[in-house]
Amino acid sequence: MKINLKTILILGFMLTAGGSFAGSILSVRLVEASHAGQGMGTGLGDVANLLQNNLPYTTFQLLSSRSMSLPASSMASLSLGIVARCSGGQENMNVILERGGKKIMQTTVELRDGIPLIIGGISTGQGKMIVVLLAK
Amino acid sequence: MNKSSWRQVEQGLRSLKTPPPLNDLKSFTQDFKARTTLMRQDPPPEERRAISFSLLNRRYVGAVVAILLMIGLFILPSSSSRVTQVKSLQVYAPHSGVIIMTDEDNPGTVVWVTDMESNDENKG
Repeated sequence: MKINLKTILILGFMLTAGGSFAGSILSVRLVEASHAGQGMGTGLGDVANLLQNNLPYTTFQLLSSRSMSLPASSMASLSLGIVARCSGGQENMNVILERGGKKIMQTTVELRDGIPLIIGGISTGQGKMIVVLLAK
Repeated sequence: MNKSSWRQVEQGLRSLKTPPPLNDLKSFTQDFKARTTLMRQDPPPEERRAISFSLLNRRYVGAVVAILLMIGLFILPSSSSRVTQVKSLQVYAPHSGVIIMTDEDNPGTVVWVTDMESNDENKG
């Protein structure tokens, strides 16, 4: 088989470019972080280390979970009046968080496959609410 | 086309002197060494350069590029390009600050808004 420099470069480009933004599903999860207990709730195993190592809370509970196809162009109604509106592809995704029908935050991110984005700090009665975005 | 007579051919053959036969091993070896010194054993410089450049193109450049690609795929992306990049951020609810953290050990990005007060805070 003849492998020349051009073939290698094309394969490399396909691996690097296609491998990071090839997700088909965007999952949106709402998590409550608090000090009311210990441990990690079910459905958070893939982000457990990221949450526990970076946020000063002792317990994390999954409140609701939604998913949408990529490129995103829809909204995810989560618990406690939280809505996540996502639009665009992974390379330039616009995310709007609303609570009670009012926009509280907007961000544009480059979301890579399997690398979660955690947006947090929304106050609840016991702790903070966290939105976890993950493209797969 | 020149035509020569048979006599001319005979004269020509006689004029050709064949080398004397080699009687012993010593004279044969001396003659052999003398002949080898008259002959180049290595290719001329241009040819050598062409051969080495050709080998470089076909084998070594491909290997070097493959190694560089491996480095690019597995080492460099683990640092900064493998995490989610926050391009822009606006917080509309009252807050005191924003922290953006990147964790490379547990790949992920955390956007944390401090002291954020939303309208429905008391309802939660």
